[in-house]
Amino acid sequence: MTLSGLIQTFRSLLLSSSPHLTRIPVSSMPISLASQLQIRHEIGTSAVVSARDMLWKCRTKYTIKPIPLRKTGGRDHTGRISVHGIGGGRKQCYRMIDFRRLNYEEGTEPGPFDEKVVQVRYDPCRSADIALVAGGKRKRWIIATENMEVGDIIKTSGHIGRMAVSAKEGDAYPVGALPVGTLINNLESHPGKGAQYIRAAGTCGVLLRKVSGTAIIQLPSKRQMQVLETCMATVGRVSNIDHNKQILGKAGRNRWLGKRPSSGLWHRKGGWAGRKIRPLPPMKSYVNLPTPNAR
Amino acid sequence: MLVVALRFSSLSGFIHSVWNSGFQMSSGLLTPKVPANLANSEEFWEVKSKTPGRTKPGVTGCPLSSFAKGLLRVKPRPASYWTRAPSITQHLRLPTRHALGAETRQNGRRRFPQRAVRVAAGPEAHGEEEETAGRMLALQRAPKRAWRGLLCGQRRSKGLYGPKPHRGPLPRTPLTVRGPPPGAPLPWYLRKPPPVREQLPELDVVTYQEKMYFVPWLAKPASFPEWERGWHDPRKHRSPPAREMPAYKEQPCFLCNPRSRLQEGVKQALWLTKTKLVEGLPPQILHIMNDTAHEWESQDERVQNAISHALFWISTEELTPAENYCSVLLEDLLHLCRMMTAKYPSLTKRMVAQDHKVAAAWQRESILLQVRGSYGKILNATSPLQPIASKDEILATENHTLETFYPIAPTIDLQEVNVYEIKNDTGFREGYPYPYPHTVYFAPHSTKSKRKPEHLRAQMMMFAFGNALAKAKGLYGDEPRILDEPIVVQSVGTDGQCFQFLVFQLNTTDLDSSNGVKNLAWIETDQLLYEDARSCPEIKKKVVVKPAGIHGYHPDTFKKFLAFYLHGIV
Repeated sequence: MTLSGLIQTFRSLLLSSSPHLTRIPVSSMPISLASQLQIRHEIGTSAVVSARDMLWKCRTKYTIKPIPLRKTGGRDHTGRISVHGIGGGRKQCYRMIDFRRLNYEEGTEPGPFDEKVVQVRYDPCRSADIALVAGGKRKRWIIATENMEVGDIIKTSGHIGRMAVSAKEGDAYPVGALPVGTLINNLESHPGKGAQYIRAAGTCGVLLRKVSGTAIIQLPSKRQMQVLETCMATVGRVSNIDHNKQILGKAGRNRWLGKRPSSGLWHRKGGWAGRKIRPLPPMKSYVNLPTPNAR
Repeated sequence: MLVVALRFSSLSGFIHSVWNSGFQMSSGLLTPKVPANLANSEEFWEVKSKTPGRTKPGVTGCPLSSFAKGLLRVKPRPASYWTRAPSITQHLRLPTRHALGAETRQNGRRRFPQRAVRVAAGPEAHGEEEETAGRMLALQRAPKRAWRGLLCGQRRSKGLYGPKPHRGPLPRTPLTVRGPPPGAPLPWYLRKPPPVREQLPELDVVTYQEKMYFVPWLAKPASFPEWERGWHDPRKHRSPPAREMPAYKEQPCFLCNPRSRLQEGVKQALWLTKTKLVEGLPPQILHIMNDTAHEWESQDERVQNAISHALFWISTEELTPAENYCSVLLEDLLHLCRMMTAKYPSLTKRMVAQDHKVAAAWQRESILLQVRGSYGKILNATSPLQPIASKDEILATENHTLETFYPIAPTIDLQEVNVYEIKNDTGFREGYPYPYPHTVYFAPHSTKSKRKPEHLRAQMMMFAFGNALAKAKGLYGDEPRILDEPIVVQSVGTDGQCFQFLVFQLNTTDLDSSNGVKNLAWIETDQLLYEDARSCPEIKKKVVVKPAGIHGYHPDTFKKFLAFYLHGIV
């Protein structure tokens, strides 16, 4: 304090400085070239965190570490709202889920392998719980099934034998290897693509029948789906079966989850309200069977 | 006014025909091939890129063939028209609002529709006024364009510098599930057309190679020689790729460093070090512990003072952060132990070293393993500790079978490296007067990496083993053998409240096979020094439930700590 006071006193003695100038507080903003050039953004030496830059999602290397998410507020890469009613909420982390269950470890030969469940936990990014499994030298996150517990050993096999296997819950097999009537989840539409179907909490599909290299599965929506028999699926039901019975308790809890309230504007009920009776959509086929005309 | 928008990313055959008629293109830039006799001519043709801010004056105009003229349907303009906005404003005659038709005013928005201007100007001045209207439009759009140019693309979010942000849909990674199945073609919006220079190799590309520096609007040269400084700047050092390093080896090595957390804990450490586990402390230490002669008066009070010092007295905060009090508590307890020197003068022949680096390498079932790095404290002595287990007990370990933990590999959570060197080093020089490791003390440096007690025990075992192995290799050489004089290293770990005690005896350096003599380890787990410590009392309903201070002090824990210190002297 004394030093700065002394400096100010000496400065005021200078001809070039008027007493008014000395009292002008030095602005905390540094004089930057950018402001003189009327560029609105400061020149940053580090990368500017932009919510629109979603490249953090595109990791090429797998990690089990939780990756901090950036909130999008429902905006897509163009910066416009693509999904309404999203914003705020608790900070969340993303854990990379390995949806390709038949993903052989590097340096190992293809064949059936076992993994041990290390941890089963909540995941903010999905309704189902997730499980950390360890096998060989690697660990990975998968979607947990209903009765998965720490210490369980789960098996993954890509082999379709002559006989149907008697599978335990949590094991993953090609659909063709499972007996008809099995409850399955984490189903993939094309072999090797990665599971995209029946991943929500408490859901399961039923293997209805197997027809000439394909399998027909009833989805949770009761729609049927035909896939190749080499598509992988996990046996059992997805975890967190009481997800639909959870009571939020208050509107604020939805805000914690990052959901914004719907518009308060009154809308006349239209065709969307009330019961609709309509036939199920036809069976969805992911199999490119040769048609008679093509022959 | 018709503006032909060219999207360089989606070149079609239509544009291809334009290229053949006299265009050149470098990436994102049209370069005219203007003949000398046409360079001064009045008529220029414009082809504007879709991003308005990027249109460059002087390079956009280009004479076209009659075919391309018909194709593009671009109006002829004087060359001065295509200069930048300031020059437009200089010689632009702005019609006032009154001069405009009534329709414009009704419109409400400040727009100058072409038709309105035509009506106001009359038929004789039609061509001129239409041109003016075009300029007007350009002027009206100019601020918007500038705004867009400022906000669009890379300048929008990044300022001027830094990497270009990604635009468009996210690229696919090996872990992407959505999208087409493997092998199927990508959807059109994810497909990337090949660069223009690959599509049209006959194009002249203007690069900044001759300029010798980066010019944003010129193309990147294919092979730009990397600038060399001419001297080695350590701040700009770039290491060569791992495969070209001299220490690169094909066989990977698995490192256990102070940061590694072994998934299977002690079980995994037992396998890696080929050790048999014995629960509880060895009788020698229990004997020292239970002997009341090694206590001094008011020992418990002093220890509680040490705890209070570490927890409450060293900082003005309510509770000292864990990373501070762990090391302080360890120091205080060691200080108390050192007070026994008056009773046992040979305790002076000890030395504590902080953060020394140990390195030990061994092979386990043809897996190369190493212990590397610095951790807490090590207590060294001038004389080695006597073996704890007798020869018969050592030979009896031959029958013990090591536990495996299928399906998990024993090397899980160890750092796999290919660039390494095999090194056995105790961390001290040759003539160090205290050559024998006595006890290894662990206290967490930070609370960020929360370590479970199981992981701490595994780490204690790995580092006690590493110290013992480095010493054994120094004494007996690298040849694997059964040691005549087993080496004993103790280890104590704490998280500030809970203590782990470990005694490790290295019987053999023949670790490759799982048969034969094994090493021995005694472990005492989870010894609480105190149950609860609080700086302010817990009050419920105006009644003090728990007063401030230390609760549930366990005197046995410090006795064990002291017994570890006195081991080898008494």
